[in-house]
Order: sequence, then structure tokens, then C-alpha cells
Amino acid sequence: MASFTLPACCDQGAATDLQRQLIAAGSGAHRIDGSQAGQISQAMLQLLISARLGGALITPSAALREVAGLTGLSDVLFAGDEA
Amino acid sequence: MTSEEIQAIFFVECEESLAAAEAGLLACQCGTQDADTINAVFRGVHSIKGGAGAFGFVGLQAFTHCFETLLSDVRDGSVQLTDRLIELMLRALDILSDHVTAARGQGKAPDDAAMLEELTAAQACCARTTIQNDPPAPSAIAAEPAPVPDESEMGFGLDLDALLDDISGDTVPEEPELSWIVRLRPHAGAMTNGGEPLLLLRELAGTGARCIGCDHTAVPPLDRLDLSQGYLGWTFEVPANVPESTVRDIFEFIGDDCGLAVGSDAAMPAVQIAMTAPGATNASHRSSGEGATALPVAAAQPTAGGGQTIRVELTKLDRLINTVGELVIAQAMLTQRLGTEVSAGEELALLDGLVRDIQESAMSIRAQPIGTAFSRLPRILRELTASTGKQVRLELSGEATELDKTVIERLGEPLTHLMRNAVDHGIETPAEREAVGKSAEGTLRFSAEHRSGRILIRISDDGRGINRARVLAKAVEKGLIAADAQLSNEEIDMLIFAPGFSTAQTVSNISGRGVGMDVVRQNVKALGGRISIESTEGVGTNFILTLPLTLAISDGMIVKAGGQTLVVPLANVIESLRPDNDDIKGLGAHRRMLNVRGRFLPIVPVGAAIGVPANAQGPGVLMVVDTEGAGQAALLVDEICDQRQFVIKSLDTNYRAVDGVAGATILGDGQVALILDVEGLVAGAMLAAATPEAA
Repeated sequence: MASFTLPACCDQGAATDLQRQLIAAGSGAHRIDGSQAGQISQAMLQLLISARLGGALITPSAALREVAGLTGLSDVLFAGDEA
Repeated sequence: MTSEEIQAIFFVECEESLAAAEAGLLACQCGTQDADTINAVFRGVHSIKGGAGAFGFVGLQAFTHCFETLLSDVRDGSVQLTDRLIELMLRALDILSDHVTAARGQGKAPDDAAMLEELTAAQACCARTTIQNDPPAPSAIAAEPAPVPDESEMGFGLDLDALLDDISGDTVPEEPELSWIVRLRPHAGAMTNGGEPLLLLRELAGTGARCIGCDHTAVPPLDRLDLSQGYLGWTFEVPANVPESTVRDIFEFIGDDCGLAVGSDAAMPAVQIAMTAPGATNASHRSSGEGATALPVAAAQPTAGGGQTIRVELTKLDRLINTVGELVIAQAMLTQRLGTEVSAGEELALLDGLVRDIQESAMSIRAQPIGTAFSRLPRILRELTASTGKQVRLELSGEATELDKTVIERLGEPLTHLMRNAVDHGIETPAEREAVGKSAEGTLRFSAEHRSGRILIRISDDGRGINRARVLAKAVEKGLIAADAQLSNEEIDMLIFAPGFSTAQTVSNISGRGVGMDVVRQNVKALGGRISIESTEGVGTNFILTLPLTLAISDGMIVKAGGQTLVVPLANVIESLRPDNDDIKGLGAHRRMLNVRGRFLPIVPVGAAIGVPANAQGPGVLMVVDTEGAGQAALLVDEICDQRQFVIKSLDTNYRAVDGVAGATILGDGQVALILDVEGLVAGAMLAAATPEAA
């Protein structure tokens, strides 16, 4: 299981970088450490959803959880995972 | 597009928004207080707020939010637009402008605490009135201005939630009645315009709205995911007491880049994902549910010409203009050569017409309304009246008159100096005005119009006029003229443009150092323009600037002098004539004068003045020219060949500056002709003629 870490600023550029890494890592259940994520963009949310639907596990930061709550995506992104 | 480029566009749009808002407020001040005008002001401020939030300019965003809240109430009619309120909002706009400047990194952030209090107080005042009529909107701000949160606490440099909470205080209902639905889906444009759609969602949530669902079904697998597209759609429940307009305003900044559908709580189909290329917009919103209302989030702003616009890098435009200039020259050369060798008159005429059309189109691209130069005047006047205690009404007309962008940019400083001069020296204090039977409020008019292929800008005040006796005395005192000099009224007036000349008793922060008017003259001259004065003591003064529409092309007379082909700018030429011998009189050992209907003008032999041998074959032709510094003179040339438009090539850039020569051009036969600097040529000749006598 490959691991990836989200930067503090998860803007579109960061999302693009992570997408490249995830694709390079191939299919499979990846672990995405979002515990340092502070600023979340829609692009990053879309990427996380796509990764999640592909089986990735996401460790959220408080900021990421808050954004997921605001956007109604908590269940999609974290349901069934450990907090 | 990089974020720096997007930010640069944002700042350009800020300038446009500020200008639009100011124009709207000024129109309100003049009595035009219709919905469109007030909306234009609101839109201007709101657009800045949207961009400020997207780029994390916290101070700018907080200030615009406070300002916008008041404007929103004005727009809703819950605050009455009084003269005092307009004046307050104009001052707020000045501070907003300073905030924008600070955000650009070109200055310090303004101290806006007092203004925020004033705006808040004005809004709170209306809120009290509103309580008696309607419940307050959730976005109503508290009586005290919100402290700006620490940037580090906020996502993307700001936390709109916290910010809006702070600003909203306790006015957000604790248990809002959720009664209507808004669905929204940011499209590709919203993902790539430098903004961040989630910030808008935060702002929406700040009204008390709550997300009740996110449609993520369109999100594709990783390898097909295009992050510049918007795949997510949200459904929000919005409190009943939040008006639709509040929601519409939140998304107004990104316009059609966000699909938005508002209805009651009836089922509403999701808005389409915009699968357009980045930067493109999708104006279609699918909304078929009963009772649903598809909202155009923001209608495209009509431009002056009613068409669409694009932004083009100025260097690209300059290259185009330069190339078109070369095309004009090449076409003229071709016409001259082929016109004598082949019979292709019709085709050449067609080509000539097409080239002329291209040239005019290219020049019109650089043309801008002079209103952009006028737009800074209201603010300067507000500052001047505040510091002098004078009451001055500003009237602008002809703002739509177009001229070259470079000319407009270089006009800013002269116009500012002329305004300072008018307020400081021209217009009297209210007490002085009333003492002479004038209204306490003076009037300052700036007008612009096209006239004979040039632009005429008139700056008029109804002040005290030029005190010629005082100007004359000061000029003698400073040694600018001899004590016994006999000057006409016009010549006395022109003394105020002399370097270092000032009649001010004291040097203030506005004027008095005798620099400004000299700068005005120099700048106008550098633009190939002229300035004249009409003044009546006790009645007022008019400054009249005559400027070329463009610096790239001009009209001129093609002349020959000493075997050289030269161009005399038509702007300087009054008339040309072949004088009788009786009309030319000698003056001293070196000078000759031309009698033009009883008025004697010095003759300047052009050949001698530029150092080429004089033509001894004929009497030549005299051209009466007018100059700013040396008055009228008669240029003696061998012959006048033609009158035509010519493309100006800088001599400084391509060679070096030469006295008496303003530039060069390429004629139809391919030869280079020098463009005479008539002003410098005449002044130099006068000096040279006077020197031997003085010695």
C-alpha cells in the first residue's frame, strides 16, 4: 500500500501533483495522509473523492474534516475509516 | 495561466470596478439614483470583494464586505441614499482604492478603522429602521467593525466562516427556518479563474445556509480526472429570511462559471457539469423542475460598444501598430513605384483603401476613452477641497472621447496639476465668493472633444481669473522679463508656465513651488500638443489643451529646404504664402521680418537653422507657424511638395536626439525625411538671432 502525504496547501497545483503520483503508483488501495492539510480546494476534494472511490484510505486533518462537513462529503471521504 | 497573471487581471478589473463604482456614486450625487446605477456601484465593490477573498487579501476583503453590506441595504431600499451617505461612500471608495493599491504591494494598507465605524454606523442606523419593518438579513453587520482575523488561522489566507461570523455577530438566527433550496455546480471557468469555489460555499454557509447534499457521481476515475473541470454539485438549504439576491450576489463574481438554480424546496434537477475548456464559460443552466428558477448568476457586462472584449498584452499591440506603420510605408512606396510603371490604378486604389482601413482599425485598438484619465479627478478634488476648505463642484463631459492609450496615460499628471492650480489659485474661498456675489460653491469643468483630427481638452473654473498685474510684477521680480517689457494679455498669461514661476504667497502641500504649471507645459509639449489660456479677472480661467489623437501617426507638410526633404507637423502650421518683396523687412543686421496683414513675424530660414545650404534659386515659400514658447514665426522653405499623413519614427530610439528635429519618417519613395521640431527650431533661431545683437 503506497502512502502519500497531502501538503498544508492543497490547491489545484498540489492536487495535480498528487494525481500524477497516484496514477504512477498504479491501482490499489493507497493511503493518503491528510493530517497536515490546512487549505483545501475543490480540485483536491475531487481528487480525494476519485481516489477514495478507487479504494484509498484518507487520514484527515481537522481542516479537511471541516471542509468535508461543509461540503457534505464526510461520508464519501471518511465513512468506515478510523478517525 | 499562472496565478500571478490571474492576479494581474484581478487588479486591472479592480481598477475598472473602482471606476465604475465611482462613476455610479457621482451619478447618484447628480441625482441619478435608479436601480441600475446603484447596482453598478454594488457590483463594482462586490467584484473586488470576490477577488480579494479568492486571493487572500484579508484587509481588502473585510473592508469591501463592510462597504458592500451598506450598499446592499441601499440597493434593497432599506437605507435611503442621501447626499451625506453618498459623500461617505465616495470616501469609502477612496480607502478601498488604497486597499487595492496596498494589495498590489504598492503602498501601505490604509487605516480604515474610522471609516469602518462610519460605514457600520450608517448601516446600523438603517438597521434600527429596518427592525420596525423587516427582520434583519443574516449578513447584517454588527455595530462594531469586525477585527480582522489572523491570516494563519484561515484557509487560503482567510476563513470566511469566521470572518462572516465575526461580522454578523449575533444577528444570525439560531434556528433559521429552512425553506428554500439552491443548487450549484462550479464549472471549469470557476476552477481556473484564480478563485476557489469552496470559498463561495463558505460565504453561502455564512448566511446560515446548510449543505444537504453533494452530487459527486460525475467524478471520474483518477486517470480520467481533469482537475480543471468542476464535477461536484451541491444542494444547500437556505434560511427563509435570506433573500435570493444575497445568494445571487455571492456567486455574481464568477458569473456564468457557476451553474446555479434556485427554487422553493421543490425537486430540481442537478445543474450540468460544464465540460468546457478551461477559461470558457457555459451559459446554459438546465433547470426544469416546477417552480425552479434558473438564475443567470451574472449577466455579461455590456461594454461601451456592446461587444465582447478580450485582454491583449500591450507589447503585442505595439508590435502590431509598428508593423502596420511599416505596411503603410511599404504600400506608399509600392504605389509610388508601380504608379509610374504599370497600369494598375484600380488595384492600387483598392490596396490603398485596405491599408488605410487596417491602419485605422489598428489605431482604434489602442484608443481609450479619456474618461479613464478623468476618473481620478473626483478623488483628487475631494482631497483638495478637504485641505483647502473650498467648495468645488466638478463637472465632466466628453468622457467617451477616445484617444491613444499612451496619450491618456501621460495626461494624468498635467490634468492633476491643472486641477490643483484651479482649486488653489483660481477658485476662491466660500467667503470670498459670496463677498463678490458668487455662489459659495465654485465650479470646475473638464471637457473633451474631437476637433479637426485632434483632441481638445478644456479645463474651466469660475474663480478669480489670472491677476495679470501680479503675474507681471512677479515675472519682473524673478528676472523672467525686463521691467519695461510690453506684453499682450496672452503673453502675460503664458508666463505662469515659466519654470519656477509662482505667485503663491506661501508654499503649501498643494502648490506654490512653481513646478506644476511648468510640468504641465512640458508634458503637453512632449505629447505634441499645445496649451493656451483664456482668462478674465473675476470671472474665471480656461486652460485649453490641444493634443494629437495618437503619437504614432500625424499629419504634416512635406517641404524641401536646402535640398533636404523635411516634414513640418500640420499642428504648427497656420498658413503658407509666397510673399511680395515689400512684405519682408530687415531688422538689424541679421533678422528679417514678414509682414502678415500688419503683424511682423520673424523669418526663420529652415535650411540655415538645420545646417544645410540655403537655396539661392528662388524666393521660397513662407509658412506661418505657431509655437508655445516663441510665439508665431515664418518658416522659410524652398518649396512645399505635399501634405499627408506620416508614420512617426523616433530619432532618439533609432539614432540620437537632434536639436530642431522631432523624429523621422519614411516617405513613399523610400527616402527618410526628418520631422521638424518647430518649437525648438524657432526658439533656437530666435536665440541665435538675438545673440550677435546682444553681444
